[in-house]
Amino acid sequence: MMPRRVAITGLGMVSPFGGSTQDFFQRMLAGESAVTHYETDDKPHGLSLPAVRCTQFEPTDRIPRPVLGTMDRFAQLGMVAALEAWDHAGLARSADNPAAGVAWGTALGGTLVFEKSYRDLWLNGQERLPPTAVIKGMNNAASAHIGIALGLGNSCLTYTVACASAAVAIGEAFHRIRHGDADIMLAGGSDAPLAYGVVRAWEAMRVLAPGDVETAYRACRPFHAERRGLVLAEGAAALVLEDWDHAMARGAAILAEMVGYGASCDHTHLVRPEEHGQVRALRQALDQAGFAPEAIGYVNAHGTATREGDPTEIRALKTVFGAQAEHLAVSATKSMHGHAMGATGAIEALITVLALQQDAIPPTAHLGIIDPLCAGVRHITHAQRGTGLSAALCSAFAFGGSNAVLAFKAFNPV
Amino acid sequence: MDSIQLIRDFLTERTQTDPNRVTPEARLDALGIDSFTLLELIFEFEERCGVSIPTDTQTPDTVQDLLDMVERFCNRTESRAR
Repeated sequence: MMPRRVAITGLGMVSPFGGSTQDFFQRMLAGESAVTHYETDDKPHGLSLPAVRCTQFEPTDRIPRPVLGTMDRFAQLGMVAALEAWDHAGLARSADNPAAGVAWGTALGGTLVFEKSYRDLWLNGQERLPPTAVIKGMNNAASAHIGIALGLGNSCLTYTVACASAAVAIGEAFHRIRHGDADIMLAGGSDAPLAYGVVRAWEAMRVLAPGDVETAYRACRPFHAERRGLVLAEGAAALVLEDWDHAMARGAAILAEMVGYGASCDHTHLVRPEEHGQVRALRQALDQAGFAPEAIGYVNAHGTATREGDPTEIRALKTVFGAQAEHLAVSATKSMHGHAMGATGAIEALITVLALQQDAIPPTAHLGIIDPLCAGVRHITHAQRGTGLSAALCSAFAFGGSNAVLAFKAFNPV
Repeated sequence: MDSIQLIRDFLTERTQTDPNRVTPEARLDALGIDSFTLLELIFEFEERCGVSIPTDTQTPDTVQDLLDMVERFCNRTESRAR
């Protein structure tokens, strides 16, 4: 069987700005940051750090109350993004879709419910937990709820691959359609990582960008000479991947085409990224897409703004793109939406699809002084419109050495 | 504790069931109470009474069965407390 073409026919998200997906993308183009200062009154040591929160998120109008009570925040975020993507694709809500499935990414799953449970048991004198604790906490809760809500009978898959979780979910979903195992896959990711213990754990890694009320918005500065690290974010995004002929037959609006997925393992170190592993994932994505390096007009970089990660990623791009690298448009949108852990790959894939659809490349915000170690590509510091963008990559390089690169192409009916 | 009212309140909140349907003779499955919802209901009663209902207790089929079960374990504690 010939590999099938894969259309992107729907997008959905929970925007940290509180508005629609289109509003989110316009803000990305404008270089607007969703990062704010976050403070808690935890005793005895409250949190104080830059973070991205979906403060206007209101799931009660999208999720029936009885269901809502059985979900942790990460599942609620995921469900709302998934429903939006499904509706955006113009697909009917049906009780049984045997050829449609869900592939979801989450790094932390229901961590918030575990944290609340520990507080109740150890601090609040509670002896036991409610029966909902297990189903709220499990990592596949989001995909399971999405599958039930939309009758997705094909598959219900969850990927926990640290910061590459959602990118892997999208890549594996792509393969299922490409190889004829499913006609439609709802793929994405969600995470709610602002748990007290999770933040403290990331602080111990010394990779969280500092900032106060005044400076938080520009705390995350990928590729900048003075970058200080990443900003934790909560969020969710979803894409509807669909067999091309299936999408055409039902007259769906195709936003872009997914054409390649590269996956690799550094197999060298738990947290230090490795150029060679990234190169293999990038090349695999290009090969599968049938793209020569010069075809690529934009790379949405993993770009977390850590000391080691950013230069490694640029070295990998320079190796793969060779002489073309200096013309290669690269931006790291985490500078604005932060690092949503297991959801970030979906947020960035959504941005990449919209960049292709609208021929508009979002910038890396706050990139005043480029680190010489990160030089050698064309860093986008202000939105670029009307460049004739026709092909793009989106990278996710995770702790654990797990790499995933997604390749997309602008919609072309031929 | 008004046990039947607690069931009515819980079902109104969790499953949007009409409270008038919650009568002693009503079957739990007919009210949309599946095995998991029943776990949640039993947990509610346990919390209210401060007791632990043993896991080998016969699973109730009707609202009356559930009320009897609650009555048995909650009253036992209350008499002990006295």
